[in-house]
Amino acid sequence: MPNNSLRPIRERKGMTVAQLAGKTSISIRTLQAYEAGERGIAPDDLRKLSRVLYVSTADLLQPSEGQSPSPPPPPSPRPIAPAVELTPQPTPPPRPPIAPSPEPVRRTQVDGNRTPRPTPTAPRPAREPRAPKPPGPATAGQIEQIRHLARRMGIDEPSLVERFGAPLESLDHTAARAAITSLRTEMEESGTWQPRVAEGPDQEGEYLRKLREHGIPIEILLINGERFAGRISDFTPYVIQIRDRTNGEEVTVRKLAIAYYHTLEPVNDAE
Amino acid sequence: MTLSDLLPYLRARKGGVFYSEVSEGTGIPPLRLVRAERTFTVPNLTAEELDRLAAYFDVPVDQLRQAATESRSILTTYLATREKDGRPAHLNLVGGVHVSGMVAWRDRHAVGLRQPDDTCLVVYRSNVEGWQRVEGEAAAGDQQQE
Repeated sequence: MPNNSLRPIRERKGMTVAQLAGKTSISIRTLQAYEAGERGIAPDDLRKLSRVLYVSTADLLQPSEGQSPSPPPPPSPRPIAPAVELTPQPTPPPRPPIAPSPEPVRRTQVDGNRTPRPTPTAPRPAREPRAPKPPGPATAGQIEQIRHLARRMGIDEPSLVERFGAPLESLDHTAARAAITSLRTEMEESGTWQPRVAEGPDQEGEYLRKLREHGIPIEILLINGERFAGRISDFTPYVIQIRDRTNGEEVTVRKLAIAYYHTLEPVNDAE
Repeated sequence: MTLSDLLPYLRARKGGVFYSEVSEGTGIPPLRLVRAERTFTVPNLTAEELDRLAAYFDVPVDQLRQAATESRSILTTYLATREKDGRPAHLNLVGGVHVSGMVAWRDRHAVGLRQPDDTCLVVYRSNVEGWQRVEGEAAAGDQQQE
């Protein structure tokens, strides 16, 4: 009889020995020895087990009752006896031996013992095509896009409803997509459509870096009419810091407040 | 001017208020304000939110509504065409200032205009109120705003 309750506690937690070994870094063999009572649980292992199993060390060291305390599995429900006596089923005839495949099966020697399974050559029966799903309602993005295109074309909401025969919210996904396509086509044909032009990566940062490296002074005009002039000492995506050339003070200006700025010396693009 | 350009300008005019302050003043979540400024597609601010912003910034609501319908691509296309054709761009800034120059570089927020004396003038898009072409120039793809 084991002198500990490791096994019943483990089973109560629904863990296998391997899982417990994985969580505690104790080998399976050692755990099995502990559970069988062949060895006493080492103090280090005891701490690990109590931590993983959420029980006290005293609980673990409590002698087992001699058998697993886990409740026996519930009895499987017995089949209800039929009201009428069933006629015995005839035993099926023995299966004929499997005929050898007409095509030679390629066997590749992988590791000397294992051979891959031959792939079945018989084609699968064709499935019946599924019935197409009905389209879902138009998304909020589609409706917004239709409204945006309509605004650009000067079409108001009642005209849109009249055009599509229903309020935009009641359009389904397919109808909304068709509506967007038709509006775009119309815009292209009318010349209202402006193709999207790439705006490119951050060019201003590169430009400011160049000005700072070459010490080119700039003059900044704020939207309130104030002006500052000096060399750039630092900048971020949101601010430009310059050393004022009149008093040498550092001035930090938020780009938000800048109407424009210009260099006070020529800038060579080749540099 | 598009809404993504107008909102930073209005924030600057109101003393450089931050999104959080606008949010407190209007009850519009800051994330929606950030999106409206930085998302360069269709802003999804509601009409009611535009009303609140107009009241907060003390501007006519029509100005915001108009800006919400305008597309960034119009100014971008104008600048791209000028850059490609090697012709000067003429920009009207807020406050009645007019600037011009050859497009040296451009990005999402600013455009660098080379001046005849080889200095460079940098304009933020949020300050561009309109643009024009000079009389007598052929104009393919240009847009006249206003």
